[in-house]
Amino acid sequence: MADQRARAQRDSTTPLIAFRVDWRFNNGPIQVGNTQSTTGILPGQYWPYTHPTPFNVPASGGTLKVWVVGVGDTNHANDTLFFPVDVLNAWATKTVLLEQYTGTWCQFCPIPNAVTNTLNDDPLIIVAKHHNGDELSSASSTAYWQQFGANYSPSGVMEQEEFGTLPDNANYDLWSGWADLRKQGVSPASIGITAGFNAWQRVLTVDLSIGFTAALSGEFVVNAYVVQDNIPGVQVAGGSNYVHQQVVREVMGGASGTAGAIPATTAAGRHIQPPVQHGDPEEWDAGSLRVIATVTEKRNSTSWTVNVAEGEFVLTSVEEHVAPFFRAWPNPASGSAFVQFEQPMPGR
Amino acid sequence: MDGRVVTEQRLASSVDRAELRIPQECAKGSYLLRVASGDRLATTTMQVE
Repeated sequence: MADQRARAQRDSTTPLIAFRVDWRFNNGPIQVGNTQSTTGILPGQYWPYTHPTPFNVPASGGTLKVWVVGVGDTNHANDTLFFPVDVLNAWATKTVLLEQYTGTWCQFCPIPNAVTNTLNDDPLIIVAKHHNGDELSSASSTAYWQQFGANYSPSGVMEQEEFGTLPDNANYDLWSGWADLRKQGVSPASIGITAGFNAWQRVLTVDLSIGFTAALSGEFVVNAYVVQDNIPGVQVAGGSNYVHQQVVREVMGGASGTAGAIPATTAAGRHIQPPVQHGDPEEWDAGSLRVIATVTEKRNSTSWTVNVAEGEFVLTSVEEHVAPFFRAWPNPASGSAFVQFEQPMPGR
Repeated sequence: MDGRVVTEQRLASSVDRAELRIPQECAKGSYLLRVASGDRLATTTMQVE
């Protein structure tokens, strides 16, 4: 069940003094709203509206038709919207994915970077910054971004463009409001992450467990980003002591994500565990790494973020020690060599 | 130095010196030698000839 909230925009030059909003799901009954008086909605202006009848229909798929009935408005060609709707019996909390294209060379990026740093503090918003043309760029990250055709910085993509209906843009002052709207939604999929960092072998391992709350049909792909926080480094127009956050180091599933891990028709409660592994370059600070995992639905080469989650890497081996506490000789050696410790040490 | 673990050898008890057996499969070249104890891990580069 959901409240039905809308806002009506005036297209005509004649002020709209009173209106109501009606809705209908598939061929069900027409739900007539209460008439709302206004001070006169002018062209381009909006008026908020809450429908008295909540949207409460059994689990199903269909089309929600919403239209405005304006008092004295005889033009019905521009007052109706249609939404494809999947009604779920059970759902998971929706988290919003906001991705940025940025670079240390980008003089206009510090402000949007700061905006998204703040948004990332919201537990229902996850930010990933894809660097390009700088020392923080990765080939897989840049390749992933190409699907959006947004080769400018700063640019932002929310929810992987929602099947192309929410294009990339640089309107960072609007991102917070858009994310807040989408946080009110729900998702048919929850994502569990088990991520480990083996310091001995320097290998990152990510296991994803995806639970569906409903049977769905579609093309679903999964992906996982290795993300690093707290990287001190140069940023043009960023001032001194700049620190980079949410930097995508690797898109583990590649530009297109991992297809086939989720069958075209999923069953409610089915769990999928596509493990992904990636060697961890020596220069990454394992302690500041995180993983972001996504489930994406694809339609005609467009994408929508079904859900997104983040997790920490758990150290599965021992910490690197800065100072050497042993020596090996002879070096070079053949056959065998000896290891001398600073002090007696227990076997492991 | 391709990231593959060639061998792992464990120390039997508290020692201050140990013999490192170099596997026969090791070709000439540079290898990373890691020694771990408790929460400490140290590395050095070992040349095999």
